[in-house]
Amino acid sequence: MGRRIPGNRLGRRLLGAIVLFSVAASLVSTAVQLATDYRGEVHALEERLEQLRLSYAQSVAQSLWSLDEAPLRIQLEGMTTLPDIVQAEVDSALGTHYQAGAAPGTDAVVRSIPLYHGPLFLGTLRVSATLEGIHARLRDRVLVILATHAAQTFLIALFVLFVVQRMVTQHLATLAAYTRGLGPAHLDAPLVLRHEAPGPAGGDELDEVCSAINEMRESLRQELGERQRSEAANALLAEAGEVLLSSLEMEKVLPRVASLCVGALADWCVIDLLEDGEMRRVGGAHVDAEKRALLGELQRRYPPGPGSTSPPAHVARQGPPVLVPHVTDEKLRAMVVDEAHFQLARALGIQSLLVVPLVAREHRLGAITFVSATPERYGPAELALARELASRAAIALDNARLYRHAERAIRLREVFLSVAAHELRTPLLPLQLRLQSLLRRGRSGAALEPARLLEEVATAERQTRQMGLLVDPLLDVSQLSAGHALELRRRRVDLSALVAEVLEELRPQVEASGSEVRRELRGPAVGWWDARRLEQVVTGLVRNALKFGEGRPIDVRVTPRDGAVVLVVRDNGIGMPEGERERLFERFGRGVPVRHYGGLGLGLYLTRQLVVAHGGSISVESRPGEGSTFTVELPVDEAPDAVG
Amino acid sequence: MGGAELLQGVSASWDVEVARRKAELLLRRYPELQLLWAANDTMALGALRAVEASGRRPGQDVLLGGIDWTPAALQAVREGRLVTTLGGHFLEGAWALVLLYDHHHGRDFASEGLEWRTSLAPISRAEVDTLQQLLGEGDCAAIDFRAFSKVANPALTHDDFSFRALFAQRRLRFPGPLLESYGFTRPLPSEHHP
Repeated sequence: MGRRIPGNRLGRRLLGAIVLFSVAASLVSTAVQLATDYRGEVHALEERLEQLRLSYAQSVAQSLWSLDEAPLRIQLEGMTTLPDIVQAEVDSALGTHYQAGAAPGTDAVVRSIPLYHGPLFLGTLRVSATLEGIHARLRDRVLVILATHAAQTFLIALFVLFVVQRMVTQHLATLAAYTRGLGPAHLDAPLVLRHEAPGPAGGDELDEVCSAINEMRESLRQELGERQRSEAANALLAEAGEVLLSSLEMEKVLPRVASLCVGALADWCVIDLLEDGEMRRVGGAHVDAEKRALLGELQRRYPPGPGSTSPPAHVARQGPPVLVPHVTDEKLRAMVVDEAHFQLARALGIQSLLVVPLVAREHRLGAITFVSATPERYGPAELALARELASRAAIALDNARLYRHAERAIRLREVFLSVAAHELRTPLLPLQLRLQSLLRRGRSGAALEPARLLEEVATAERQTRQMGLLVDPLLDVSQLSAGHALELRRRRVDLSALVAEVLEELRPQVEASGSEVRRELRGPAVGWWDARRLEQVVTGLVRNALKFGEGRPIDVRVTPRDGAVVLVVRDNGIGMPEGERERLFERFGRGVPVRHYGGLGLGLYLTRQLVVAHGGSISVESRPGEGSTFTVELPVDEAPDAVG
Repeated sequence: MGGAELLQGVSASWDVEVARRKAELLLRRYPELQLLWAANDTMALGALRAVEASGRRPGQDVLLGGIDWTPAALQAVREGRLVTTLGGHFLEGAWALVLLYDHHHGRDFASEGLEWRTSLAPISRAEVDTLQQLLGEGDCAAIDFRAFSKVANPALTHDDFSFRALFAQRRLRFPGPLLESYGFTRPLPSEHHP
C-alpha cells in the first residue's frame, strides 16, 4: 500500500457529515417518535380514565346511593393510587363533596363522570390525571432514544469510516503515491489498485480513475517514446549531416554514414551509388564485426550489376522506397539470385528491410539499404527518417559532384586558355617574323622586288586568315555562352555540292595529311540551311578526320533519306574510348591529350551547336585504334517562312 | 296513617353518628320523607338528632322508631320524639337460663318444645311508664326470674314466659295491647304434652 493520507481527512469529513446528518435525522425521528408516544400515552391515559368510569363509577355510585361516605372516600383514595391519577372527587347531588389526592397542576386531564342510581342523578365523579408522568416518561425516553441513536450513529460512522478507508481512502493514497512517483523511469509499470480483477459488471469509479491514469500513462509513454525516437532521429540526422559536410570525398564519407546508421537504424547497412548506369557499392557496415567479412563476400559474389532485380538496384534506378517490415523466406527468395545468396543474406541477418533512393535535383544517385535482424523493425517512422537521411546524403553527394564538375570546368578553361594562347601564337610568330623582315629591308633601303613583296604579303594575308579561322569559333562560342542563339541565314543549299566545295578548299590540308579522301556524294541533297554554317560543320568534321586520321583513308558520304540528309565522315585513325565520346561534344572537350594534338577543343562543340540549331543531330561511333565515324542528320522539310 | 312506601334502606353500622349522618343526607335526598325506622335505638336516636337538626319536628313532620327499649329511647318515646321502640327480645336470654337451670335440676324442657320464637313488642308513649316499672332500673333487675322456674315452683306445669306472666309476677296493671304483642310464639306441645 502506498503512503497513507495523514489522518484520513476524507473519512473524517465524511464522518462529520454523517454525524451532522444523523443528528438532524435523529432529532427529527425522535420528535416524531415522541409525538407518537405522547399521543399514545395520552390515549392510554384516556383509556384508563374510561376504565375508571367502567370499573369504579358503579361502585362509587353505589356508595353514594348508600351514603357510605367512608367507603366512598376509600374508593376515591384507591383511584388516586392508579398511575397518573392525582385527584378523584365527587360532588354529590346532596351538596356533599368528597375528595382524594391533591389538586393537579396545569398539565392535567379531567374526566367528569355522572353517577346515577337508576334514573336518579347522584352526583359527579371527577377524576384528574396529570400529564407530568407522561412528560417524565417521555423525557426519560428521549434520553434513551438519543443515546441509542448516538451509539448507532457512532457505530455506523465508524463502520463507514472503515469502509471508506477500505474502499476509497487507501486506494486514493495509492493513486496519489503512484501519480507522485510517476516519472519517465516508471512509465512502464501500470497502476494496480487491487489484486482481484473487477467483476463482470465492470469496475467502480476508482477502477475508472485507475484506468484513466493508466491510459494517461500509456499516452505519456508513447509520447515519450515518440520524442525519444524523434530525438534519436534528429541526433542521427545531425551526426550524419556533420559527417556529410566534413568532406567532399564521398568515397570516405559514405562508409562513415553507413557506420553511423548501423546500430541506430539498422543491423547492417550498405550504400550503392549509380554511376553511368552502374551500381557501385561505396559503403557497408555491420553491427556485428564478425559479419563484416560476409558483407564483403556479398559484394564480391553478388554485385548489383546491370539488370539486377535486387532491391537496392531497383530502387536506385527507378523505384520508390521499399519497405518490407517482415522479410519472409518467400520474399527473400524473390530478391536473391541463388540458394547461396539466400543463405548469405540469412547469415547476415535479414528480417526487416528498408531501401531508400538517393535522389537530388531529380537525379538518381543511388540507394541506401537498411537491414535489421529483427522482424517488424521498420515502419513509417523509420521510412521517414531514412528518406530524410537519404535526402541529405543525396544533396551532399550532388554537391560533391557539382563541385567536381565545377573544378573540372575551371581546369578545362585554364587548359583551354593556355592552348588557345599557344594556338594563336603559332600562326602569329611567322607572321611577325615575316613583317619584321619586310620592315628591316624597307628601312635598310634595299630594293624590294615587287614579285617577292607580293608573295610575302599574300603569305601574311593567308596567315592572318588562318588566325581568323581560329578566332571565329571563339566568337561563336562566346556568343553561345552568353546565351545568344545562333543566327541562321537559310537558303536553298545542296549539301553534296557544298561538301565538294569544302573538299576542294581543303585540298592543301588533305594533301599535307597524306590521307586519301573517298567521297560518295549522292545528290542532290537539298534543304533549307545556312550555307556558311554548314560549311563550318563540314570543314570541322573533315579537319578533325584529317587531324586524327593518321594518314589513313577518310570516307565522306552524303546520303538523302526520308525528310533528311545524312552526312557521314569516317576516319580510320586513333579512335577513342567509350567514356570520351560524350565529352567530345562539350566545350573545351577533347578526346585526346592536348600535348599531342593541337586545337582549341571548340570545334566539335560548335559543330554540334550548329547541327542542333538546324534541328538536326550528330553522333559518333569510335573505338580506340579503329577510327571514328561522325554521323550528321539534317532535316530537309524546313518551312520556307522559317528563313531568317 | 295509610300504607307506607319504602324510599331507601341504608346501613348505619349500628352507629349513632353514622345514623345521624345518613339520616341527614337522606333528609336532603328525600325532603318529603315522613318516616325513619332504625334497626336499633342507637341509630334511631342518631337519626333523631339529624331530624331535629334539619328543623323538622319529630313525631309530627317525621316519625321515628327504633328497637331495643334502651332507656334513652324509652325516654325519647316518653318525650314524643320517637314514636316507638320495639323490644323484649333480649328477655330470651333470661328464658334460656331459666330452662337451663331447670334442666340442670332434673326438669327437662323437651316437653315444652325445642323451637322458640319471640315477637317484639312496640312501646308507645302511653306504655312507657308501665314498661319502665316492669323492667326496673337497668338490666331488668326488678324482675325475679325464679318465679318462672319449674324446679323452684313445682306447681308450674307449663313454662309461661309471656308479658302476662311477667306483669303478674310484678303485680302490675296489665296494659292490654302489650299482651297481644309480646310473648313466645311456640307450637302447642300436643304430642309431647302428657
